[in-house]
Amino acid sequence: MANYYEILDLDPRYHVAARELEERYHAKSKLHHPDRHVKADGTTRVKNALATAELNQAYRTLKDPVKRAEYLLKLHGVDVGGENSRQSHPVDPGFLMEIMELREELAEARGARNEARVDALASDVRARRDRAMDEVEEGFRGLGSPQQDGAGEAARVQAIAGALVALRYYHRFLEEIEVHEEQRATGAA
Amino acid sequence: MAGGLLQIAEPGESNVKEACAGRVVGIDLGTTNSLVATVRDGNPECLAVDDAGGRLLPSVVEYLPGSVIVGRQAFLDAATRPRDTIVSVKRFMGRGPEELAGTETARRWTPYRFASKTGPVVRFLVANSEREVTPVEVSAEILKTLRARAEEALGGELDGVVITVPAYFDDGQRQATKDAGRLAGLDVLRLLNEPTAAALAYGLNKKSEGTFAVYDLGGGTFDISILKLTGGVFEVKSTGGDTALGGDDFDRALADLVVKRLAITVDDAAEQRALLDACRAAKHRLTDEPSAVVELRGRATITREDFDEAVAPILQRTFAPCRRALKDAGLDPAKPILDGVILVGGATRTPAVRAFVERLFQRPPLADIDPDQVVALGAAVQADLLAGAGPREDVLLLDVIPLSLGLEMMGGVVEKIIPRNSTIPTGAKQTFTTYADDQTGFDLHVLQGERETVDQCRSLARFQLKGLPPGPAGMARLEVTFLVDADGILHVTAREETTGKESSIDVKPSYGLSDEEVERMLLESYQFAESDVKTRLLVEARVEADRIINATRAALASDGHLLAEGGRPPIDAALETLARTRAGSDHRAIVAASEALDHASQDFAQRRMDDGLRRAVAGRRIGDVERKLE
Repeated sequence: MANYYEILDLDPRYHVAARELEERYHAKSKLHHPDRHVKADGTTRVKNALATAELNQAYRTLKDPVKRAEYLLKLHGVDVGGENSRQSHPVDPGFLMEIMELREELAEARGARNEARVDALASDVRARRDRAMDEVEEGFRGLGSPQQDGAGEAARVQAIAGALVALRYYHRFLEEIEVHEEQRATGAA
Repeated sequence: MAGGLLQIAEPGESNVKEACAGRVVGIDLGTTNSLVATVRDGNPECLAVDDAGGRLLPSVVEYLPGSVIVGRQAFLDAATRPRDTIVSVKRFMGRGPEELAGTETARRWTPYRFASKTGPVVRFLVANSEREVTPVEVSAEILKTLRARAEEALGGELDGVVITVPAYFDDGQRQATKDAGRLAGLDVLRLLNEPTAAALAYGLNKKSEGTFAVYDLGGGTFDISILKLTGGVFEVKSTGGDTALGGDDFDRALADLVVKRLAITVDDAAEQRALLDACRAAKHRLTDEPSAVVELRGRATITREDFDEAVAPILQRTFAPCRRALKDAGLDPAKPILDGVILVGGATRTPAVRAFVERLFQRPPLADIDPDQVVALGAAVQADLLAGAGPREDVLLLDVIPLSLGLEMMGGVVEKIIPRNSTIPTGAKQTFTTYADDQTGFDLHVLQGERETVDQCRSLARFQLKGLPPGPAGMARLEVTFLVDADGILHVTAREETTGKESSIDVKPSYGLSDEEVERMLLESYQFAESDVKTRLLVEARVEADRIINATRAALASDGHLLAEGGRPPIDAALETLARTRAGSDHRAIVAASEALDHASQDFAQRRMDDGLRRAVAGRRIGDVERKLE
């Protein structure tokens, strides 16, 4: 079996060089893409179409720092959910309260057309997001490869999981900010 | 399968062409004009589509009792026979009547009669109301004309075509375009997104690298794509647009202005057409001149400023999709860093459009390839690449799906399974379990769009998955695989996990044509065709029959062991009938017999495909495959 890293001939690490990833992806695409097999027989075409679909999924996942982290964590045995996974992960109630308060504040600021407040909330949550990303990166730095998880690494994996779950809430919050910014930009332009 | 979302390639039986680098062309099936291009001596060029050597075939089809006229003459007749002459049919492709009701396309300046009981497909009532035609049939007429011209120019039958579609076309619109190609007797190698085609035409000419925006404002559709070019790979980063926005809207805005200026009302269909034509001509004049006069029961002088003001709200509608596409590509919409902006579509000749684009992307756009031709030229290049011709082995297009695909969940909520701007082909797997005892089936509703509830997305199709083994709730686990192919069209297969049994799937496309309808159209188009065409159809029907007979015999010989019990006799019978019919001269009967054989061997084909898939994933557990497709 091949996981996403194996599909792209990469070591299962969090740090991935963007350029190397893209080069591997392009090289593999040139082998399997349906455009290269238009005149081939049906079996070859089906096989290559499936291979390309997997390759595209692999690239999409590994080029995005959050998706890559979620995927790598899954290889370490912890599924925090994410795209196409209905898995849910326990969330700290204190954190949930915090997020709820932030959202309420955002709704109020939007309602009152208080753009300065919206911008302040946006930069607050962006800073939280950046910190969480740092935590993820830091966590993976001390982690071995998925096969060699020692007992001491369970705590590290849990810390990464916590940061990833928090990231998801921040992203949802920032999505709302983006909708707001889009309305502001398209309305004003 | 037309209209349906289920297309299963039969291993070893599909489209294998002996001659590879044969006669292949690219076709730009445009709202206003259509073009056909081919690569000669390494350079793409548009072919003449009329006797005067013109490259643009007006996408206009006129239906008279007993005959069909396509192109320039039909365009000229549109004013006098507005109801029988279909212009801008592209706006109707893959759309249902209730979907069009209330849109600009249907509400304003549309002189057509529609058949009353239409089902999920729009039907124009033409040829003095003697005939009903669908947008797919109308488009097929345009394609047939292009095909005939190209075959004349290239000296023989076409081996394959690439047809372009707006990047923002959804599944139904793509399927309709493919159906039209099939109806026109074309082997559609690929549907190619128009902006990608344009980038290909530019990129190959200039050997460029970097990030490019393609702003494509055609007659009736608007597309924006952001592409990255690296080492021969054209990677579409994001795409967006509006399938009901284009230069036609400029004509309408101008018509509104003229009607207001002259204080008249225009209800008569012929006069409406005449007004729109006059406005289009004025629009063209305003590209180079400061003012133009429109005459209709009076004279209205329109200055360029008047015109710019009238079209400003239309241009503004392109702003939000551009912003989103820039964001989706990871660029800052307020300060996008681009290496070039490419203009496509006749409407981008308008100075107001150029000024708008320059403001938006903060750099002057490129327009050194004729914006009318650039898409067809790019399509020809892609056709050439697909045919395996030329030294361009390192060129590859990586395109995306424009809209997210989702499934209806409890409470009318849509759960996304494939997000927009995913590179195609792409796939997803979902597993469902039964919620009631002895439940033997599921209903699935697939939707396309970005919103979160069913009523805000576009319904693509409803699937019925049947044939689950009866048992207690939660026992049966059904794994449904969604695959979006390189044409951007969705395919669905389902498998019961515990038994490994393939479930049967009934597809009800929400819009579009069923297979039977396409068949009927094929037959009808034969009735209306002329006799030389009939001869060709007969030849084609025989070639197709031979292909199916040979493929089936070969499949039986190599994979006969995969047949279900009692599966052989019906196939043998259908084979014999086809061989007998093939000797006759009734091409319709041959087509029907080919279909019958196709039908009779469907189960066998399915088994062979399963087997092929099994072998493709041999050595892996289904769960592994699932994980990878996630």
